[in-house]
Amino acid sequence: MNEKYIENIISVMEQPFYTTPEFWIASIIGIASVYFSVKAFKEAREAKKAAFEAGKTVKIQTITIELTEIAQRLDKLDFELNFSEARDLLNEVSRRIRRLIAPFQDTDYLSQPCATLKEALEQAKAALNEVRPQDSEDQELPPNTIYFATQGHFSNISSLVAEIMGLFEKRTIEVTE
Amino acid sequence: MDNETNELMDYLYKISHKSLHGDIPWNQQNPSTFQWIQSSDNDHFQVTIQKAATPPLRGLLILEAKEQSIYLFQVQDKSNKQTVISLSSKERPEVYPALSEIFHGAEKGMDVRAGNVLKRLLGE
Repeated sequence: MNEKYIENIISVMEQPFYTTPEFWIASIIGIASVYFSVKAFKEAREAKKAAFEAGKTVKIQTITIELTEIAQRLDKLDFELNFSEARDLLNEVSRRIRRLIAPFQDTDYLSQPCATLKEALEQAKAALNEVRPQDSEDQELPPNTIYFATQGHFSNISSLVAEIMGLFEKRTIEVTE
Repeated sequence: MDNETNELMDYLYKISHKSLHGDIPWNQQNPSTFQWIQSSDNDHFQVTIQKAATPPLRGLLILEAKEQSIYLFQVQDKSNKQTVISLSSKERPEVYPALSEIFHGAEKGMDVRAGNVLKRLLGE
């Protein structure tokens, strides 16, 4: 019994392993597992990238809405604006714009427009300093004095904000395509 | 230029000339605005000359442009608070040289007047 059993084992061992169907079944299952694993990995990576881009798109859309509000505010400048109102408006607009463009100012397509916008904000500040009252704000100046000094600058800021919004929208279209 | 415009320009140049010699008592209300109050028995006028900078046109296509100055000359009748004259070099570029000279005259005229005051203070 023992000898027969050993002979059987020897005969099995003498057969090449690749001639056995079990080997090929196991190999096919193994290769299929590797293929599906790689495929799953690639799809997960694509999904992660898509989710990241979608997050960025939502963020850009939020920023675009806020920039639209700023541009609309700048376009409705009061003809009889006084110095304090102009100063408060410029401070608020400057703070909001700088906060919104800060994450994008080093990106290739936005670095130049962001730099130009920041320069326009500085020019508006300088223009406002040119109409800073010497003593009190109750000076009897024509009511359009502050408007005349600042309107061009506010209009310039509004135009530059619109250009940046356009670039954001272009990017959103490219991502969603 | 028509006769009316020529006449207007003459008056503007007269103001600039008188300003330059310190004959018009301009007061500086802020770094870019000078004011002259002219009162008589019947009239009470407030004259202002203001200088402003127009921002350079810059955008995606225009990268370099120069900042330009614009001037606003206004006369208000203080009795009824109406603006009787308003001349802007932005809307009327032909008045730019005259308004520029008035502004320059107001600046220099203030120096002349300041010099006269200091001379009197020193008893010279």
